[in-house]
Amino acid sequence: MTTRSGGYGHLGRSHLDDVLMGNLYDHGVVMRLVRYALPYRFWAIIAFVGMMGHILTMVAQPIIIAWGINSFVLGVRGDSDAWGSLSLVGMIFLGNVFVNMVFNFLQYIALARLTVNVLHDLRTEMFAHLQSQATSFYDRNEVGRIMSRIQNDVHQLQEFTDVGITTVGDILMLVFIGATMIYLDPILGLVTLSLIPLLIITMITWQKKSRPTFLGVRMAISAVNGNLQENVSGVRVTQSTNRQEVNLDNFDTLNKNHLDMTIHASLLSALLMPVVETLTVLSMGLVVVVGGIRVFDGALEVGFLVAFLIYVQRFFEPIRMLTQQYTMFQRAMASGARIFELLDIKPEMNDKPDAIELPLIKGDVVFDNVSFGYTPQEEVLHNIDLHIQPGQNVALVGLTGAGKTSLVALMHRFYDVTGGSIRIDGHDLRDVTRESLSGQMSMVLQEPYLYSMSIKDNIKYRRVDASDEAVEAAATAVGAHGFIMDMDDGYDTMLQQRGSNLSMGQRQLISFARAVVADPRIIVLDEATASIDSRTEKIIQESLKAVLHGRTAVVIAHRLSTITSADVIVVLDQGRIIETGPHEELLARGGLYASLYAMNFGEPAPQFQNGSDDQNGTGGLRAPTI
Amino acid sequence: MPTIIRIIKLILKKHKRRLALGYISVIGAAVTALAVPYLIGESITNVLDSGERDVSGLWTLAIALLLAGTARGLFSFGQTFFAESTSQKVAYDIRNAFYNKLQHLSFAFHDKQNTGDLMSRATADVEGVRMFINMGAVRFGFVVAMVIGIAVAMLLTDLKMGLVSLAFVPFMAWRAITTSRILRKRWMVVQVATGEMVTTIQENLSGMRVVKAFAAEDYEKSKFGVRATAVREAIYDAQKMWAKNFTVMNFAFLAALGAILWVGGQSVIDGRVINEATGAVVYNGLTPGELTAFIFYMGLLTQPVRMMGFMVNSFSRAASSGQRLFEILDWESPVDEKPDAVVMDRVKGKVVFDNVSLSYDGDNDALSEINVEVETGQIVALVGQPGSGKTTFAHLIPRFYDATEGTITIDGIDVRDVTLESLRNNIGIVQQDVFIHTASIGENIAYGKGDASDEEIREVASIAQLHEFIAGLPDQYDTVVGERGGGLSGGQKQRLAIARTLLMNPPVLILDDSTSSVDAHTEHLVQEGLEEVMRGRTTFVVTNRLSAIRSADIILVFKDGNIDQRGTHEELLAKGGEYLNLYESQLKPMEEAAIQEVQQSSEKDGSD
Repeated sequence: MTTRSGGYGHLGRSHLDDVLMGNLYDHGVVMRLVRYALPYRFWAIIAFVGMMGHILTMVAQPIIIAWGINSFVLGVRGDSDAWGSLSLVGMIFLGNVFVNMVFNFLQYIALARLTVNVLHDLRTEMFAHLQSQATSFYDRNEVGRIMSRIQNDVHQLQEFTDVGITTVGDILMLVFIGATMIYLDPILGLVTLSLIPLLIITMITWQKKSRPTFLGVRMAISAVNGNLQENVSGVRVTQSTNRQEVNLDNFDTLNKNHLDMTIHASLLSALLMPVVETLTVLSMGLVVVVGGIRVFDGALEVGFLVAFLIYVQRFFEPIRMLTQQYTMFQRAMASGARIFELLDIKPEMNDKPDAIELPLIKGDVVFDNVSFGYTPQEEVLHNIDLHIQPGQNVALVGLTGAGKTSLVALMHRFYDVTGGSIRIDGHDLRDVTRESLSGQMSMVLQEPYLYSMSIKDNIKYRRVDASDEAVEAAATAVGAHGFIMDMDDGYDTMLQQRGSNLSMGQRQLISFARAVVADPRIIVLDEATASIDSRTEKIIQESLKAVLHGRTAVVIAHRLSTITSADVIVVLDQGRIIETGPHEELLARGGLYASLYAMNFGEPAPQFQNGSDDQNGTGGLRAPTI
Repeated sequence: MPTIIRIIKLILKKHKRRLALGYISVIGAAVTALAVPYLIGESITNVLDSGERDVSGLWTLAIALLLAGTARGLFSFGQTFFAESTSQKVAYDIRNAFYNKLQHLSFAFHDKQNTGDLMSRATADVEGVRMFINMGAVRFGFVVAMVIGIAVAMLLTDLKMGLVSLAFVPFMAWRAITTSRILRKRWMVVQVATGEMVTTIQENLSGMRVVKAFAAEDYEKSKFGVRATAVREAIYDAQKMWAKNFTVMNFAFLAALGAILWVGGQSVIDGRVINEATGAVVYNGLTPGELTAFIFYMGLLTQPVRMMGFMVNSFSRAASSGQRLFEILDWESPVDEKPDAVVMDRVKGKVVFDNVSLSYDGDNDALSEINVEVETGQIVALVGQPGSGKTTFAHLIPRFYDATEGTITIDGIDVRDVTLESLRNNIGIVQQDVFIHTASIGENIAYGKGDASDEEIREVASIAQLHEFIAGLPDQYDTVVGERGGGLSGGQKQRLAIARTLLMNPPVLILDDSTSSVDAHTEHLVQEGLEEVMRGRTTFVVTNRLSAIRSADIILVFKDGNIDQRGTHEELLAKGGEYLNLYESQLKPMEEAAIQEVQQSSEKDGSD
């Protein structure tokens, strides 16, 4: 198999995968996210109202405190009318606090509703989008890579929306506090704010300097875990080869590297503490001196001096939070870009706009001069002409790499032909909807794929509305009823992932039952080569008859019994059909089939120039036929 | 609790000094933090001290404030740094210990564990213990010091006001603790729901061909929809819970602030005396400066009280995480070296099973009363249905498991009397599931013998029929393979394993070949390699290939943990019974495929 790379719909190792952090703000990503929020603008508005209410009440609190202090400090100097009574102030403060709580709660609830909905929609759209991708997309992209987009990147976005949006609130709060301070006393306000640029410059420098270290920690821990995982999986080899000490040395190197990185990182984050702390008290000291002088001068009332000190205290905390969220913003932007990259990949084989529903078919299949290649450079099927009559059973025979699997994949339109056409009951496959085509066709794969649901649901996979009787009838027809009933919960027995609590043969039978319930007109079967015990083997032979009966069937055949009972045998070699006909006829002809058969069953074989395309002599991936 | 104590012992064992420095920083940070509200209060008093325009006094206070704040910053630095670095150092120790334990635990252990679970212990549980050391062991001190310090400072300033302000603390502490417990449960629900959703996606993507084959896209979407909605609602629930708690806590603090203002203000008014003549004001009760200090003390108190929730969580998480880690670290490997185990020299290879039985679970025998004597250089084929005991038999020789009864000797030496390393150096194993490490091909071949020269590696690769393939690769022997590197086909992997074993040159060889994922053409190439490996070694081959069986000196036919029949191929065929049964159902059909391939390859070799 050559590795296919590049081309359309290829996610693998794009430069985005290596980008852990993007820009601080990516307009494209943010605007697209906003589009997802539009349906939930009600919640967005509530959140905004809550946020504003929260900020305004918070900003008002120091002023109320100032009012209170002034009421009993200045009141004695004869201005009590100006400040009212303490109890009035106390009640106003409590009222403020209560209103603040309500707004605060509204803000968080609305935000939560908004973000979970947006992320849910995003996830659902990604999943749906993946369903619409053609098989070729999955040939090109490893499952792990796609999983990481759905899992990690959406998780990054979730973190971002959880904390990131409140950052907007933090910024607004800073603006309001700053404005209030300047309004109350422009001189003192400006003096207090004068330290802010210093703080911001320090933070940004720190960010730049420490970023490689924090990135390094992430990479170091994934190296540690990767090594551990590999060691757990390969522990049997380790013990067989006495590698424990070398392995521990290697692991220790990685582990030590991670430790050094984290200690360096903790040094960096701890370093910020004295800086922020010093700037905070420096700012308070300035307020005390400058504000004190202003009070002495009679330009400022003492209550407002206290208010200023409280503002300073409330000012620095959000700024510190902001810098911590800096990296999160960058990570989220990179993740967002990756998610949208995936969503922007167009499915390769959309239905035509005027595609029709394939009507109920008889099962007449025509390959008309079909050519196909996974890549334009390399054609694997050449000029295939084949006519399969309704109800005929066809066995595909050929060496590894002859093109059998490609041929059946085309029939199911996993891929589109690159030349010629395939017609079912006269309809070109490309002219009908994929859904109506798949609806009348079943494919049983060599490795049956079962889901972690009950046996019944696995059998009903294709016809969710099938009755219990239909399920049982199908299971009985393929000979699976017996062992299913022997299980603890019968048809309701839950299967483990990939059906690992069943034997290989049992899994195969369930996948047969699944095909029977679907009752397709055309069935495609990739016969299993895995060694199963002789009893199961016999049961499977029997049940195959039930599956194939009365349907058009194309079987990639590995067993002699399947081959000899086929109506037509098609012999493929190097992507071409070289012989077709029933068993006896082909034997009599003395070509490749006869030669393969003879070699198999011990009769003297005519010399035949074998043309396996296994050029490098390393063996193909699939088992040979016959 | 014993788990917590054990974790604390782990810290004390190696990192006492660091921990002590952490605690010194904690105390320093708490004391200097208390100075700030006090100094602010003094500043207000100074400003109000009527008549006098004491600017130099303000400067003094401002500088004192700066000094206290800076000192607090430095202590906080120490606290964060020492707490974090201690926790990371302990985590490092645990990771190494865990890693090493895993590679020494016998097969019996690994048979029952799954990788995902072990990985989650190594990641999530190590992190749980680490967080506890950081939060629970060091910062807990900070919380206690702060709460006590603030309480004392408040009560000393004004007893009544102190009591009013502190009245809120128990309520808030209780709330912080209980809700953090509930929240933790809610987040677990989120985790479980997310896990289910991920499984659904994983199954969907891995089984995409089935989805496509059955046109089940819509069904899959609705299945996913249910899971995704469950995740959405679980997250929303948790966030709602958090929002509720957060806003209520916030409210309580602010209300406390209101109470200070109101009650404290009243107390200021009650105690103030105004000199009618001069207009000077004297505060006999609470002064406005002290009231201001109270407001700032309250602000200081929020942090430690909020942290209490985390603390309690970190305790309970560490208790369960620690337990899961110690469970593995304390696991007694059933296969253990004797204290007086000796080094086994290179053996000749006579292997004897004397009345050997093995039971995995103590009830059912996987092998019962096996007696076998194999002479040096003999080839023994082990055949039988899956689960009949043939692989178990082979795994007893290198002590991947220990026999429950009876003894196994090599050259007359009991395998349990020698060191595991020297025993396994004498035995080469080619397993059916070849594990390829993420490393170069050369390194993978030299896996069991790190000091092998390039020539040696090349030589064994040639014998194993792998050299030509490697020579065709862009980076040849330096090509990286394994999970993150390029893939190898099943046949290539097996030949790599053969080369690996050849390099170790063991006198006893075990080939596990019972099911094979390679096609017959490759199989033929592998077969040639195998014959090369078996030459001159005592070989046990678990197989169902007739070619391998025919070349064996003895065939042992396993059935239900017993050796049902033994002899050569012809003898056994003549006898009938289990062997004939196997022959008909499995061996013969496979041979047919093999013969075909042999012929084809010879033709091919001729035509090349």
